[in-house]
Amino acid sequence: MPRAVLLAVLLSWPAGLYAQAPQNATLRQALQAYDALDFAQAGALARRALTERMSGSDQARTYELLGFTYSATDSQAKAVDAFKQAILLDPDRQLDANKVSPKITSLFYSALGQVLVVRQLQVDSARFVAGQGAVPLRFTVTSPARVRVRAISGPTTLLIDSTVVTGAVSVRWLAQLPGGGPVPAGQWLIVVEATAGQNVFSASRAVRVTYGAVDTLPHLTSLPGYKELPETEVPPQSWRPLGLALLFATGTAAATFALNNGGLGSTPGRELAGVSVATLAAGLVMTLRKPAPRPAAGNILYNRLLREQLTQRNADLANENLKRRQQVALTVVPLPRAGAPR
Amino acid sequence: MNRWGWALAGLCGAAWSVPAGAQQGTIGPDVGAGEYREAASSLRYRGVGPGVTGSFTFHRVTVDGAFASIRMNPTAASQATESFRATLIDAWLRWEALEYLGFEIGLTKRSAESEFAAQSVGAVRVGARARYVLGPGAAVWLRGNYLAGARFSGGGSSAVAMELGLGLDIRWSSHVRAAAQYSFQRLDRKTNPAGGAEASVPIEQALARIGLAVGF
Repeated sequence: MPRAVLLAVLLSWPAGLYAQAPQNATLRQALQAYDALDFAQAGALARRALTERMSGSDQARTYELLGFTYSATDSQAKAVDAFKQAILLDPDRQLDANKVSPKITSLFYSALGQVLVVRQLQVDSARFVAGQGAVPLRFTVTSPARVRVRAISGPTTLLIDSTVVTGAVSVRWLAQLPGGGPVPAGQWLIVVEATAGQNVFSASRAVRVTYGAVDTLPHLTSLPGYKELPETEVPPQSWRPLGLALLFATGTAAATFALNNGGLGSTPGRELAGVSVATLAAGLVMTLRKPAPRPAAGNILYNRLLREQLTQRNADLANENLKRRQQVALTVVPLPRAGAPR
Repeated sequence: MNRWGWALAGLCGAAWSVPAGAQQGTIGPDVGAGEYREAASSLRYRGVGPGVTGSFTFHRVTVDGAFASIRMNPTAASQATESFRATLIDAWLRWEALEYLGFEIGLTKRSAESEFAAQSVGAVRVGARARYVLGPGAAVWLRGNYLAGARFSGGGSSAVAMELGLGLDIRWSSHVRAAAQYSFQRLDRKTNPAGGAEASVPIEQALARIGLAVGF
């Protein structure tokens, strides 16, 4: 084996293999042999480990080790077969393209394209009003296949989607019964089944559906962005009061002079002067005095309109809340995986 | 009780039966200063005396009343020698057609203590009053009345009889008011004593009142 290939294999050793110590002793020896670059010994030990009783996880790691070993010894067909077995045992298995050599990665993806599996089934947590939202489901189908997505809870089976696809798939589960009502609360199993000819593969994910009350909207005390304006305003100071007093006093004086009968002598002025002075003094005081606030008609109308709008909005909110109290909020949470998919 | 008494009692009773917000009234003392002239410039009197004014408003209708008793003394330049006491009674019934304009009817009566010193006169008045608000609690008004159907103690009539008025109302508080008002009356009396030729005997009176009033 060329030295460069050996170096690449060493550098590409998957960290996942060291992440957890395998339970099977033979597999552990095989991994140690691989570490020592004794690929023949590593391959032999791995093959022997497969004849022993071991967990599914150890089995997948053994096949993966075989894939690496065959890749190092240029047995590409065997490497692909070993990777295929590893993928079938653990469809979500991934190679880190930054750490694994392109040669091994290409062999792994070659194996991936030759098997039918549903990978990386993910169900996102979701909370929505029944009938107004959906639960996002995502998964990857490695080969073209008829994919049926179902939700199962006890005797109830709901078909979510059925289509022929390959690659990354997104599906939305409305969490509704055929009649339109929300699915019953409880534990549901999302099953994705891919069928291509005789090949059938399924993956599943458990979720819990719970009911909750739909949040009601709070009543508004003010319209956002709008505030009431002062309903009174202080008018600017003016000379109008004094002017009016002057006008009235001089008008009365002029009329008195005009009305006076000349035959009776000059116009009596003391009485008029006294009252006129009092009137002018009142006018002057009112001119100098700070004007009293007066109603601001425009602001009053604006505030009235604002209050009407607020009342209307609160009435709309009350109606909306009435509807919401009759609705159900669904919370869908994926449960931890119980075991590897088959 | 005469018919005027019954009418006043009926008005008070009607007012008492309506909500307080729709009615308001004032009453208070005042001091009147006046000048009276008759026949010629040489017959001139001037005097000061106490009086009472009051008003009552019911929705847009207001009744104003004023009473004064003034001792009229001849002025220094007057040829008159005798003083007399003049009793002045004035009343107005006004309908406030607009915020600043009211139409009114009423009566005026002036009685002279001495029939020989001055004429007593009574007349019906018809006119209008314009009122403007100067500021918070202060208002000024202007009045013009025609004095119709004037009757004189010495006989005669007056085709031209008018009254002019200027007033100031100040509202110190909801219960205390002050008022100043001026009125000028001109009556062109014509008479024909003993069936002779018609003689012109004009009468003029200027009167100023200043007083306080209690609101209720």
